[in-house]
Amino acid sequence: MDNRHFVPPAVNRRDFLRRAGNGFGAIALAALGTEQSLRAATVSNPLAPKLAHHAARAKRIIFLFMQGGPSQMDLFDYKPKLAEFAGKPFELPANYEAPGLNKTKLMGPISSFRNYGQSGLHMTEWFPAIGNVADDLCVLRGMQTDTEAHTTAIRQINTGAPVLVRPSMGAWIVYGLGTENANMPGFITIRPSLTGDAGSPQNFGAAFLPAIYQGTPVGLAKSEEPAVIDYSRNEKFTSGLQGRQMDMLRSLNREFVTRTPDSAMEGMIESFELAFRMQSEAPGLMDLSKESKATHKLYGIDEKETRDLGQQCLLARRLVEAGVRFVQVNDDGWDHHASIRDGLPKKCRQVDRPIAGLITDLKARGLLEETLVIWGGEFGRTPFDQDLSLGKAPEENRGREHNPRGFTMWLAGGGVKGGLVHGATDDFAFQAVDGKVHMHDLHATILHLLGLDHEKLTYRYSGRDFRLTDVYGRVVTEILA
Amino acid sequence: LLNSPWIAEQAEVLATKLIQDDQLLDRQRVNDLILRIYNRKPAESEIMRGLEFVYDFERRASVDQTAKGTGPPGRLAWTAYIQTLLASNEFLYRI
Repeated sequence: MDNRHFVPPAVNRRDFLRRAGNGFGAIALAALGTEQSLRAATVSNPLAPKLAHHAARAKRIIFLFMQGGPSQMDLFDYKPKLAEFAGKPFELPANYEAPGLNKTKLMGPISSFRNYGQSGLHMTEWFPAIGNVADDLCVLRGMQTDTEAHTTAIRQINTGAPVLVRPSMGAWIVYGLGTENANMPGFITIRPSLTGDAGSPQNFGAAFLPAIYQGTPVGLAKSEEPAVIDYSRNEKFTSGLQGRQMDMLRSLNREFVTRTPDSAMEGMIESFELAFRMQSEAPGLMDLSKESKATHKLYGIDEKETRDLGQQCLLARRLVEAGVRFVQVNDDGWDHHASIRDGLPKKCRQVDRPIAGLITDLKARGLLEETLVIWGGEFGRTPFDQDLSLGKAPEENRGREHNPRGFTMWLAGGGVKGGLVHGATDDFAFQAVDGKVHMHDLHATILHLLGLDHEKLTYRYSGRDFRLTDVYGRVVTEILA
Repeated sequence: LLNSPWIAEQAEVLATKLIQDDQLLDRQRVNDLILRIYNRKPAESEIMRGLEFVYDFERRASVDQTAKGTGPPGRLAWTAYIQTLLASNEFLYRI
């Protein structure tokens, strides 16, 4: 190598860009750096378990995100009036606009309902397995969210805010509580959607929280590949040799941090440390073949239709069992604008056994008591039908439009009353009228169950204290066990 | 970055070139790498630390039975050093 003609520039590329551009960014970053180093001085490992605000009822979360908008009146919220007025016109609220609604008519419930369990929970016959755990479910029939487009509503269920970039629920929780297993991330999201209407990395991001709190994605939506953590094994060096390499990297980075004022770099150092530790534990944890045949069967992994979600649910159980604080399971395909009569029962078959298996298994292992399971989509659906073909397709092929005004989600385990129905919608399951639970209220309740006060869990950024619930949120005390 | 086969391959290519030139002293090698990768001249302490790492890694790799078959310990050590520089915050965020 001949370096005689090479003279290092006085200003490197990055400095040049920074100086040539607007200097305010650098000032903000410097301020952020100071704040973080103050924090770092008191908390050495940002993922170390932290004290909650009050006694927790749940230690960990499994969020079963049913992306698309499951139809509440066909699954959990039967309305005799809707059956009676099926086929009759429906007067839309003023200024209501959506495609394919010009000759809109009420669509009666498309599934039969029955009572399940001791509690007599009334829900669809398409969930026979979930019906077996009906007495563990706390059904919220008066859910509401602010917007009726996927992108915004998905962002709201995941981050609290429909439009602006905010930290996700999982990131807030790990920021608030740390994690119980230092060898694993505190927040893992299985097969998330990264693009389009259905999702974006923002939905599991940390936004302005330190980057170490962001969700670690495992696998991708709609992928045939097994869900694994990328690059979780080193092919070249043994762990002893890589340990030596890590020491070197640590020392290079520590020195770099002391040499430059830019201590936002701490996040990178921490993530390398975590990744190195994960190598010892993650591959084993992700290996579902370690589970018995009976367990595979319980989750429906033995059948093609239920295999995919079954594997995700089993992985979720293995992760929470290992001390991961927040695990999100992502299922899509609930957006039945058309052909809901075929599409919805098919979705129900895909999820029924895996979800029931998860709850049964958590219960059998004594984990359900301290694990809060959350089921639901970003919104629900309308009682009236929608015809996106504008009259070309037969009437049986119609579906339902998005509906944020009133829909159903359910919780199970960790400190909520089982076999309970809370809240109600109007006669057509269109608007919540009683026991309304806004998405902010759900978030406040989830934090409460984890021992966190949603008004106290704040992070100072850009001059003010931010919260998951912004300036909203009420803990739904009626459902607490 | 530390586990990516692509980064490992780039590091190995550079390491192979580096040790082919047997006229070079090891301390020149460290000097050249820092100049190339960080775009600045190294401090004396950095050269010493780099050398210490490469020698120590080479010694460990030569006694580690499981590491055999992935290449001669010397090349492995230089590869590891280069890869560490490539994964460091200074390279990722300042260059």
